[in-house]
Amino acid sequence: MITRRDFVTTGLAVGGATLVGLQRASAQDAPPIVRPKSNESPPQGDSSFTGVVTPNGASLPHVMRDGVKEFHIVAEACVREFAPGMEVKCWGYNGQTPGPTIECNEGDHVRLFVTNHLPEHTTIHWHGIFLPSGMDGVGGLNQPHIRPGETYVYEFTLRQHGTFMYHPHADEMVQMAVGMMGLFIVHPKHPRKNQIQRDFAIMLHNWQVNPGTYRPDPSIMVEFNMWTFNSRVFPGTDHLVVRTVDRVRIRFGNLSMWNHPIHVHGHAWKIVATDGGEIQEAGQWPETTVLVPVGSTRDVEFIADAPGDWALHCHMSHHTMNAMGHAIPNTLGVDQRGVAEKIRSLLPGYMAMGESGMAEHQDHAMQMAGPKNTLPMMTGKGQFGNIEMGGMFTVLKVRDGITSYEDPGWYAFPAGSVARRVG
Amino acid sequence: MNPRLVLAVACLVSLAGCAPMTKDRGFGCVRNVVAARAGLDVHWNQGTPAEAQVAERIRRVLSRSLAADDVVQVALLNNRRMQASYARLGIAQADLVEAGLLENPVFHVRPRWPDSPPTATNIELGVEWDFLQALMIPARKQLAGTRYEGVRLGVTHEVLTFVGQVREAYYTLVAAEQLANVMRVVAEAAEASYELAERMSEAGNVPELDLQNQRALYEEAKLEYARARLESLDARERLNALMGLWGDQTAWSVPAQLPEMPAIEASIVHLESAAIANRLDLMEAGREVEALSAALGITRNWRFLLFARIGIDSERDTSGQWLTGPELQVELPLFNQRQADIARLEAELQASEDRLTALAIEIRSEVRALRTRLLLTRQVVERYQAVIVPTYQRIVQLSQEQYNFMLIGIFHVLEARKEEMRTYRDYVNQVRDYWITRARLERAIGARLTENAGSADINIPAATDSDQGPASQQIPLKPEGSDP
Ligand SMILES: [Cu+2]
Repeated sequence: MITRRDFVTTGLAVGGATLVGLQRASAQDAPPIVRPKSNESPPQGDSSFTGVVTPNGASLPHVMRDGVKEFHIVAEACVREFAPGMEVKCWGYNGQTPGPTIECNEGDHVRLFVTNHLPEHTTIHWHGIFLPSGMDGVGGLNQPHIRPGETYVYEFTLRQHGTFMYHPHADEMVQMAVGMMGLFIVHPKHPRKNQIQRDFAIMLHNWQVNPGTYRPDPSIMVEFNMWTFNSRVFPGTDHLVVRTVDRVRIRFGNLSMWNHPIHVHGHAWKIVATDGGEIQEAGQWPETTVLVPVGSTRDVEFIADAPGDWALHCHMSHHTMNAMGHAIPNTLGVDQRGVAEKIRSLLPGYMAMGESGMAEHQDHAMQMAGPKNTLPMMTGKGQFGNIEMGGMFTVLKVRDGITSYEDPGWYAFPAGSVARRVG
Repeated sequence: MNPRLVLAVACLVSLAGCAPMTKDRGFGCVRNVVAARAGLDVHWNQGTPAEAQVAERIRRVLSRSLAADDVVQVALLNNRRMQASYARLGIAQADLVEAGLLENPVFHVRPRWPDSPPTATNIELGVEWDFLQALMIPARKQLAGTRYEGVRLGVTHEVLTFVGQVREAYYTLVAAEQLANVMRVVAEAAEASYELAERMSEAGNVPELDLQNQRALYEEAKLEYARARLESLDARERLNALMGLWGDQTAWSVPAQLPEMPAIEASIVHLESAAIANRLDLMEAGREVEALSAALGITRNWRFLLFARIGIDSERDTSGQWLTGPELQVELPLFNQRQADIARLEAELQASEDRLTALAIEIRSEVRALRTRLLLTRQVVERYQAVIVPTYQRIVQLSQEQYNFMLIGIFHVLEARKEEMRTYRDYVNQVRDYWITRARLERAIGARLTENAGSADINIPAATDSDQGPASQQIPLKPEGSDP
């Protein structure tokens, strides 16, 4: 465990080397730009740690130069599919939002080249990481802004481990609203007491993509309509596949404007760390829902000891739906017989909705045309029927004896183990 | 060249050819011109066997969905005010005949009894005749002929003006019925909204405020619909009156929609000169100038000799002797040399010339204004067709898509549907204005617009003497279905 005091001392000790590195680096020295495709790069673990899986995302490859781990981050526009049927014009890093996960080891000396391909200036702030003040990335405060076309280099030594984030600290309102953020994972120098088999990294975010549009509206402060895990909504979210009795870690980062109570079914987890550091075992307690506050990370751990398909989702129910109007008239319990026919004669195809709730909506929405580039508000099909979800929802798939973490499909329930109709 | 046109032109140019006291009082000329200008028949109800045919024809036309020409045709055949104006032809023709008649000689006898012998009765006999009137007959006949021609032009102009009025009334009616249907849809949408709000209110889902707001919108839409219905009924009655229909005959119908604009606009070049050449009221005003000019000429020529009689007088005096001799009376123009009459006629002539010029200027202006209006209205209608109406339709479609995904409520969609129909109402109004403007322009140029309207109806060929032909025939009834 590194104390703040230790850190400051060691930081000062290597300060000279950092400055020397900075002076040497030039844009020509930057590693080639890589835009890792989702699910293409395997977890970058080595003997000492298990690499992180970024569902629907990837980690950013690095190059070693003179003992320095070099990354090349490009701030640029990209198109992100939130789920099949909806593509969003975003800004992100290296062709994706969230930007690729940066994975390092505690003690690494890192050099991060940042090239700005946006139409306006930007910076990168390394959220939670202890570093020299001039590397903290607040435009105007810690450094000049990185103007379009410019490449800056950040360089520091990682003195801590844990789950951190990176995001612009320049025109944040716009740049974060359109997707600029990523996770920065630092693995511990010393092997953990409990080896982790599956290590997931999920960035939580909110968006306002007005139905029928393609670009997030950055002027929205509160009324968002899309809630994402790694900039994907259910049913576009990758499922989390684990083997029975795997020790699973899930790292949640939240750069949205809401707190998210993320809930797991069939298991209980403990918060083992925040972006401020590890929580000692004595201070951990089991729970099934972790509240991930705005501007924080939470690492939870649990043993996946219950085979099956388990929902894992934000517990704010409107965060597990896709776009829905908030000012629509309440039709619950309203008998529309007779009136519906009249309306249909004026509006062919009219369907009365909501009299007995919205459960029928998923079936309706599949038959009816909706606005372009807009997902139905409740969607997804499971082996027993409509899942009626959206947004921050995925499935934790716990399987006995699997040899690959490829998606195994729906759970084969043992006979007699599924709730059944008796009346 | 339209043979009817030739006839019509012949009528216009050689009015003298229409001999006085024809049985039809010169109505054949009116009919030929109307046929050429409006493509329609007129009939003067004079108690001939043709009447039954006309009545049958009207009955048949009324049994089908009426096109504009059908309505105009029925009105021309059946409107009693038009019939009354045809009678002006008879009056004018009587004047013309009168102008050609010699004045009757005057006979006088004057017995006288002496009061002292010899007591034989004195008798004076005489015949006098105003020979000056006879000398003036050709001039007066010419003057009366000009006036008669003026009346015929006036009557024909009245017919064509009437045709324009009937067309306007027709398009007003078709539009009004179409608009009433549009407003019915708006009222239905408002009704559906209100009923839905009622159901929601019953279910405890909306406050009374929302319900009353929906009710207010519904009542407003119902009133709009009622007003639209009233307008269509008014328009219908106006057309009943114009077509001269009553009783069972009023059960006719028109198409549910206004006709489409012709794909290609009629040629509108040279319309001003066409109007100047065509307008019968202008010709009528020209005849008035001619007539006054002729009257002035007569007065001037005869200013010193306005009263001249010859006669023969025979008197038996009391001795039984007959004294016989000619008589001549001549007015001596010592004081009154018709200066006042001449001055009056000169002033009247000047006034008629000014009126003629003014009318020509007004016609040109009217034609220009209507031509511009026609073109602009066409553009507006095309804009409605190509963009505005489809835009509102698309808004309804997109609203419905949003409703389908529960992004907006159904009230929103119904409101969009109402807006779509209100836009459609504006569109119908524009199409109606197009047709009315077209009818007015046709009236203003005194001919129908055709693809080459600028010239076809204008050129007046040499006169022919075929005028009597069609006028003396049976009324030509167009076969069913031959309407243009
Ligand atoms: Cu949430």
